[in-house]
Amino acid sequence: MGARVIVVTSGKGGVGKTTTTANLGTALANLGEKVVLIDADIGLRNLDLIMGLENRIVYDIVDVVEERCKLKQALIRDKKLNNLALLPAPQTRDKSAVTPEQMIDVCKELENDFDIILIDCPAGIEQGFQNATAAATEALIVTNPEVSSIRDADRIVGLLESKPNEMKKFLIVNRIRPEMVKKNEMLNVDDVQDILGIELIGVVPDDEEIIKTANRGVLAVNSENSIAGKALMDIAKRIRGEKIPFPPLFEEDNGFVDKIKKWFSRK
Amino acid sequence: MSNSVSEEETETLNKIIIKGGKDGLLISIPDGNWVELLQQLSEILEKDKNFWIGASASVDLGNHSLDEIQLNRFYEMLIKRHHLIISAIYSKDEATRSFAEKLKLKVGKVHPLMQTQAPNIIQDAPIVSGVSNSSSNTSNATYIKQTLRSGQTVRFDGNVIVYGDTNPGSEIIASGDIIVIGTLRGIAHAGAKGNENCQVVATNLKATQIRIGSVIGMSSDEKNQSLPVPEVASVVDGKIYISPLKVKRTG
Repeated sequence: MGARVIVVTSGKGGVGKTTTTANLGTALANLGEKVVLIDADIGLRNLDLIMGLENRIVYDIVDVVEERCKLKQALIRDKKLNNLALLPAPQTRDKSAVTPEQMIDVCKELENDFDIILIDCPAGIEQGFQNATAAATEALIVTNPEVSSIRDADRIVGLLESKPNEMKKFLIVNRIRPEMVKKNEMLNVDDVQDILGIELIGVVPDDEEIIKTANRGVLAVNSENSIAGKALMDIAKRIRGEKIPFPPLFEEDNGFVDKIKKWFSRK
Repeated sequence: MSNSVSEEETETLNKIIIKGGKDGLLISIPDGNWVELLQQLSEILEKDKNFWIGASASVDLGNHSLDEIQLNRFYEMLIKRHHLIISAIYSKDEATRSFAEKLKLKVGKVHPLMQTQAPNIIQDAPIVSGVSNSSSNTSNATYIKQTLRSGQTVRFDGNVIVYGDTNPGSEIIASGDIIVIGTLRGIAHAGAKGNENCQVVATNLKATQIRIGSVIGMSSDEKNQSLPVPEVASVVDGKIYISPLKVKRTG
């Protein structure tokens, strides 16, 4: 059969990998794909929290590789979607508890039952990164429009390029603030792409709704009034190969009100 | 020992070969007296310290079989005294390989470069004749057709040509000139063995730092040049100057 194995990675921490993974997984499942999420952030697990599945964890990926349980026992079904599952990480232990070879074995076993395996990569470029990327054939590189995040993403792309196996790489620019880009206070998507030079698959605006929904245990893609949720849904569709046009980041200002605003805000 | 002097003499004529490329250096040790070869290697590395420091290298020990103590000492010498980062050890001797494995190094029988190429004939012989080379004394060059990303380093004993961008956080260290056909945003160190006649040329020069020989130039903080023009950085009166590229045609 063979499932698509996609890793969500960034290099830098705190750019929104886990939120992206959770939302894309849910969106893809909503679109009918059989999806399994793997939390590769051993020792610092978060994905279960964002998915609202923390209380259901009995076994985790380390239990699986150390053969204390069957892989199927460790998988947790989503609350709503039957075709979405999570393979959690332990909160104890550290990254060395799993080897890249074991990760490949786990993915091979999951390939029979799922269409898409989505791996949440930990920050950094050490063992955890090696584990998370070992089995992947595609990578979603998440970056924020700021220099340190781009620098780290560039390092990640370099490391992925130096791997022996061919890997497709896609860029997600996360937490962009259109009003700041408009005022030239934030790097725009072109600036980011100029450096990284990989195919853009989505631009996610900064959205307070993400924080609100996350704290309620709801995902942005399931929330009607989240602009970030809509952008993430578009990414999920593009991952499936649909041609979804990129909406403009902000409306061109030619309205009368905009002109007035501009007149007042000029220096 | 005394009865095999003539044999030993011819063998020590074999030189240690150090090659550079984008995957790091290869140090190839020929057959011969181990202690003398160690001495020879140490001298080479000591002579151009600045060029070698921090370089990642693999070592091809060829036919040498070392015991564990010899190998550990050799390894210590390379990393502690010469500050190299050793990534792999190649040896035809199985025991030597097993000791290297204990040091958590990658091991193999023969380095891929040594398998395919006849020892260094092409690299050392200048192909162009009748051309005087003004800046660098070598006509070696390596050609890299890719984007150099953050964390990637090219270290080469000769000139380096990159057809692609070099991103911030990347590094090119060359004993000769550096030419970037693309945007140079990373660090470029030309003439790394002390030759201040070397130059750095880029079609879009936005380097964070340029070094030529032992001179260091930082990028000016002002941005926003309108259209990128090819520029060249060179040393004038002990400082790095950047000027538009003009190719002089003499004769």
